[in-house]
This record gives sequence, structure tokens and C-alpha cells, in this order.
Amino acid sequence: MTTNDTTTSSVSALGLECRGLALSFGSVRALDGFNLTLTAGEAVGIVGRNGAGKSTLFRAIIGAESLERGTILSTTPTLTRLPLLARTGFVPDTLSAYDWMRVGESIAYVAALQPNFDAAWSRELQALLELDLDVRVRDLSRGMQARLAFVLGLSHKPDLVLLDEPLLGVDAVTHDAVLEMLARMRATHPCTMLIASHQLGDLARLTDRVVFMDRGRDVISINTDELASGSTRLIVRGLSLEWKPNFDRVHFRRQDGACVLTLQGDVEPAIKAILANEPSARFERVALSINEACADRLRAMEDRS
Amino acid sequence: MMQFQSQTPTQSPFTALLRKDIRLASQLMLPALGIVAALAVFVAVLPLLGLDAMRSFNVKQETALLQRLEILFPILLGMAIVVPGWIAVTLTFGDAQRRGSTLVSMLPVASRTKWISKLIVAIACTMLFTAFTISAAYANPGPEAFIFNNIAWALGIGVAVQLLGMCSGFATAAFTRSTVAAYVLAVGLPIAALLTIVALDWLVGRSAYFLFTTSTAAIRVELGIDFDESPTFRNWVRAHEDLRQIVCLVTLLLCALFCAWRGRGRVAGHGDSTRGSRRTLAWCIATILFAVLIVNSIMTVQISSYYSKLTTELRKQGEHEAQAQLKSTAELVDESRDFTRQFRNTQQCEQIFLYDYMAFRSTTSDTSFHPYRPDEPARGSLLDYYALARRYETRPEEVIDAYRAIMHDSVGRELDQRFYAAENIGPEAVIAVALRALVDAPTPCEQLLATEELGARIDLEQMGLEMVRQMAGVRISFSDLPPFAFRETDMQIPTCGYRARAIVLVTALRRHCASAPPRAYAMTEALAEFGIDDATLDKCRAILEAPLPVSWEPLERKAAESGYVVKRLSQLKDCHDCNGSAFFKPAETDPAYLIADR
Repeated sequence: MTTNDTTTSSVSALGLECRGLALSFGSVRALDGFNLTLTAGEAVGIVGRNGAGKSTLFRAIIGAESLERGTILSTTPTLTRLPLLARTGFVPDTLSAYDWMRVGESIAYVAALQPNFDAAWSRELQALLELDLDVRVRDLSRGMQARLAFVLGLSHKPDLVLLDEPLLGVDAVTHDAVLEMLARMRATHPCTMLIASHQLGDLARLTDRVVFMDRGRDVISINTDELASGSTRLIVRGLSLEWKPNFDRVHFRRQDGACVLTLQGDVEPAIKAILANEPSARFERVALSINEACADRLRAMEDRS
Repeated sequence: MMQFQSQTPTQSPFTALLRKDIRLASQLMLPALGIVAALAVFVAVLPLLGLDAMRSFNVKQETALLQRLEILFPILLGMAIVVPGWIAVTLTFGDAQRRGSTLVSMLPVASRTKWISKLIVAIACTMLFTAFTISAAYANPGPEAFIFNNIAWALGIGVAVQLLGMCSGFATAAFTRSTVAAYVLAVGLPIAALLTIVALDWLVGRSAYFLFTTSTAAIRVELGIDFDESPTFRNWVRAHEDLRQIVCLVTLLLCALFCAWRGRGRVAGHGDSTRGSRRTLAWCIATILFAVLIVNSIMTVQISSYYSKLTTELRKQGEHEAQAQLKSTAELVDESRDFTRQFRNTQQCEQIFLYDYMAFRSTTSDTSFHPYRPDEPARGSLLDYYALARRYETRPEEVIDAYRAIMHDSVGRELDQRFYAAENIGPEAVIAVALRALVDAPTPCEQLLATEELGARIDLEQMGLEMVRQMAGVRISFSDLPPFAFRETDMQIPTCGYRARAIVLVTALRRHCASAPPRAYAMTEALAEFGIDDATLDKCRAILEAPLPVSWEPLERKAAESGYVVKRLSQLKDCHDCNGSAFFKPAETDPAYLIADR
């Protein structure tokens, strides 16, 4: 057995460095030179469209997928695969647990194989998530499956937490409770988090920065505060077809003959700059939520690629 | 509610893995065991279904339950061969199939540990079905079943096949991510291999049969080719395992090529070490198959020598046939007299009597007791015989006349040779020659040979049955004969038995043939050819009545030289020295057989 070198209790968060990850499924390139550096204790969100390669990234980190190229290394300290797994908690988007087992049996199975399993913390999680230990896994609802996935993935108080769309199908009350739990866990137990989610509000609440991912590549990394601060969509009509913005911090695309600009912060300098060149331009302002702002960024990324 | 309040580890990691893998295997094992149980129940209740049902399974009424389990052997054998591969596939893909693959990946357990657990479970399942199969095979063993070599070979081959299946099953993950595809591979590959074997076997068999039909009977025998029992190509293939190896080679080559082709791609969904070990496993299988291919190729070089031998024999036969056409029929008959038969030496009478002595022994390997002519080895050849057969097709009268000349040549030919010639004409001729020899016999040995030939025409085993026997061409029903019964002790001595039956035959001929009824035409003609009438038959009967002129002194000397002890010599002497009528039980025998009452 290999548990001897994995039984050391974690005392600090782990850093992680992914360099040039590449992986294909047939003709589909799931990861294409992806780079990411997580400093110890940092919480990072991953945002991308469906099929961007987020789940593949998580599976590559835990070793469930074999990379064609690239390296994944833990930093502070440097660990080999098994010790890294002993200090890593993964909550997949779809529950992975044997369907014939009862909930309690699944947790006991993980307890047997996970050397850092914390029984007290696990019971706390079970109580918080109101799990019925006697129900068979195959009979769990989508929401209950998500709750069990949290217990299986986090019962050993991991130093590196990987969450891949963890709250799909979870009701609003549980959703809040889980976010609360994660925040509390991070506060009491320093850990590094990597969270993939389409719920930008969740990311804004949990993460320090967000990495945008497109077709297996990391495109841009933005601080969450910046992402959450007011973004404005400016729809400009009356511009020539050749017009392009010549100022920073803007995402630009054309739609129905108009130019759609997504800007962060004050939009007045941008309006003045446009009017200086195109006096007949007409403007329409739309205040964006963080989700809309992200969607615009993603569309812009697609357009560029 | 079940109690899982504390999930502190209560089992070791390896135990947890084993329990999980056992549960994975159970999804295949439970149905398989269910089938076995259902079949066992069927065998148990088989007697309740009636005798016809039992007979259809070749089961006797008195067979015990455990012994009846033998009929499950083919099914259990098939399952024992198939299960290892399927179990391996089930264990390999079970985690993903039962939604646990990611869970397995995210837990800090070495790949080696996971696969050891799966291997232990796979071996246990395999051994369970192996045990079932062996139990069924030896539930009702014959005396030959416990020969050590048989058991060792069967177990060795069986285990090798199972290991190959298991390795293939585990290796399927190197070729496909799909569970369905893996099962298709695990099931489809053996079926494809089987179909390939059958197809190639058929093709090879057809080729062999074509060669067989183009060769002559002589060549077939010379080469030991035998389609005679069942004239199908499969017999030939069965008799020539070397060709079978070619079939196996091609199959193995196809398997190896398949492995090589499929193993070239990368394996997604598994760690580097897992992928590497699986690919290594796949390549190991391919390498083993390739090595077997090379070895078998070397072994099958002899096939070419077989075909060159066939060509040589064809040429030899052609030349021989051309020479045979130049010979006269008498020469051909003489040269092809018999290429296997050794004729008995009528000059050494005592050796013939030693047959009686040897009848009391279970076996003998002393060839000096064989009453054959040491100075006349088997002569002629099958090619001569075949040439004579061709001559008979075109000029049968010449061949018959040649045989007839030998049959009548009482001066230049030994009696045994004359019998052989008569056999080629017909059984009536043999009887006629024997009767004439009995009357004219110049030596005791010739008298004994003639008696033996006459006695051999009646099958004692059929005595007492109400049936019509074809007796030397004369359709005589035993029910038509006057009743008779032999003394059983005399019948244990071959010479005395022949003498007693010869008396029955002569009596039957006296009643049915001497008066020449129409239905006995062939026999009557044969008797007339050798001048045998009622008086001759009476004389024959009188000769058979008299004790055989045996000189016991050489016999006893020969037996003493050979170290044998004639325990029942007195019984032999009593048998040979008594009158022919004494062989019959007077109370149950018609007076027609008894000289004293005539």
C-alpha cells in the first residue's frame, strides 16, 4: 500500500502550477497549452463555455486523465501524485460513487481509502447537508447527489480544493449553506481553491480572481473585484463599418449593424473618444450584471479566436 | 436506519478495494452461478421427467445424482473458458460502469494496489468455475480418467487458455474506453477466432479431401490416409494434427496483428502508469502469440515433406502400374498373393496345438509360438494387389481362373495358400477345399487346418438364436437344424471348439446339400467341383469323430523350453483324445450329430 507517505496531516495550503497542459479526445483538443498558477491559499475561479475544457482540467489534475504534454506540480511543498491526492479534495460536477452502495457505505469506503479522513468534520458536513445515510446512491436526487459529492470530496479537510460545477441542481437554501460552509472552511482551514462555475455570483463570493478559459486555453485572468465592479454595455449606432475602438479596457463586437462595447468603470471617456471621430454616433447604455459582463467577455473571446 | 454515524476507517484500504471488486464481479458471477444452479436442479430432477428424457442425455436410471452432474461438463467447460475474460472486462470497466471511476481516481491509492485487488478477484472467480468443471469431469470417471498425464495436460491447457482470456480482458482497456466495445472484444475475439479456425479448417480439409480423391487407394494406405470410416475431410484433418497447427497459427497471427494494430493508440482516461502497464500487457500477449507462431511455423515444415512424399508415391505408382500391365494374370495373382498375410507352416504341427495351450494364458509375447512359416515372409505389395484389382475390372475370368488353379494345386501349394485362393472365389470354395483336404490330408496339421476352416464357418455366438445365418452360401437356419448342445469345457479350447462346430457343419451339409436342393446351388456346385458326395461327407464325419493325431512329446518339450507350465495339460489331452460325439451333451443333442447312435 502507498498510504505511509500520505498520512501526514496537512498544515498549510498547497500551491499548484499547471504548465502547457495538452490533451485531446480524438480530434477534439480539450486542453491546448493551458497554464495556471495557484499560489497557496488562493481561490481561483474558472469560467468558460461548455466544452471549454474545465472538467478535463480538473480530471487531469487528479490524474484521471493522462496528459499528452505539460506538467502539473504542487508547490509549497512539491508532492508526488499520491501525497498530492491525499491532500486534495475534488467535488465533480456529477457525483462519482458506486450506485449499489448506500450513502453511509460510500462515506465509509472513502474513509477506508483516504488516510487524512476527518470523521468529526465529515459528520459536521453530513449534518449541514442533511444527508440520509441509509439511502442508496442510485436513489438520490440530483441535489442530494451534489451534497454527497461534497461530503466525499471534502471530508478530509483538503489543502487543495477542486470544485467542478459543484452546486448544480442544489436548492437555494442548500446552495447558500454550502457557500457558507466553504467560506467557513477556508477561514478555519487555510486551503487553496479552484472552482469552475457558470454562476459568476458564486465565484465573486468565493474567489480572488477568475481565469477565463476558451477551447482549452487560458485567455485572461481578472481579479474578482474588478469583474464584479460595474460593467456597462454601450450600444453605438451610426458608426462606419471600418470603425474599431482605439482605447483600453473594452470588449467590442458588432450586432445588427451596431457596435456593442462592454466597458468597465466610467464610460464617459469612451463616449468622448467616439464622438470625436464620429459626431453622428448614437449611444445606448445598459448596466450589466456580473453574469452578463462575463457572457460578453466570452463572446468577445470567441469572436477574437 | 442503518448506522453509519462514524465513518472512521473500520476496514483496511485493501479490504475495502477487495469488497468493492467482489461486488463488481458479482454482477457477472451471480447470473453465471444462477445458470449453474438451475442446470444442477435440472439434472437433479431429470429422473422425474421420465426415461426418455434421461435417455436423451445419455443418463442411466441407476446413475447417482453426483454422477449425473457429468452431463454439465461441456457447459461448465465453456463457462470456465469464457468467464475469465468477461470477469476481467467487468472489473476493468466496472468502476466506470457503476459510476465510481472518478472516485477511484481521486483517492490516494496506487494503481498497482487497485489492480492487485482486481486480479485476486478475477483469479478467485476463475478458480471457482475451474473447480466446477473439474468436479463435473470427475463426477463419473472412467478408468482412463485418472491418468496423470491426462489430468496434467487438461489442467495445463485449461489454465493457459483462462490466463490468456484474463489477460485479454484486462488489456481491452488499452484499446477502447467503451464498456460495450470491451465486452464485444472479449466475446467477439474468441468467436472470431473460433470462426476463423472452423473456416480455415474447412478450407484445409477441402484441399486435403481434393488430394485424397485424386490419389489412389494404394497411396492412401501407403501414406496412412484414412477416410474410410467416415468419408469426410474432417477425418483426415483429425488424423493430421500438423495441418491443424497451420490453422492455429493463422488464427494466432490474426490475433497478434489485431493487438498490434489496436495497441498503437494512446489510452485516454487513465494515468500514465495504468496506460503503460496495460499497453505492456497487450504487447506481451501479442509477443507470446508471435512466439507461438514462430514455433509452430517451424513445426509445420514437415507439411511440405508430406506433399513431396505424396508426389513421389504418385510417380512410383504410375511406373509400377505400367510394369504390372505387362505381367500375366497368373504372375499378378502370385505376386499379390497377400502382402500382409503370413501363411501357416503345415510342417510344424505342434505349434498349431500350442494355440490351445496359449488359450489358457491371458497374453503371450513369445513369437516363437506363432505357427507361421518363418521361411516365408509377407510378400507382394499393395501396388501389386491394386494392379490385380484393375486387371479384375477388365478381365475377371482370368483372375478367377488363376485363383482356381492355386486352389486345386494340392501338390505345389501349401493348404493355407489354397484356402487363401479359395477365399477370393467364395466361401463355398473354402468349405469344399477344407472337406477335400480333410479326406485327403496327408499330415495331421493339414487335417487340423481343414477342421479349423470348417469350424470357423459357424458363429458360436449366434447359436440358439432364432435367425437365419448365411452359412457358407447355404441359407440354413439354426432353427432348421436338429437341436444340439456342446460341453462348455471343451469349447474353451479353440481346436476342440472348431472340431465340434465342423461336425455341425458337416451334418448340416449332409442334410441340406448332398441332396442338392435348389437354394443350395452354389454350395452344391462347389462340392461337385471337388467330387464331394454323401459318402465323402460321411467320411469327413468319421475323421472328425476320431481323436486328433497329436504327438504330445514335442509340445511338452516346447512348453518346458519356454518356461511355461501347462497347468491344464490333462484337460487338453482329454479334449484332443476324445471322440467327436463326446463334445455334445447327449441329453440335449439330436442323434444325427452322434456317431455312436447312427
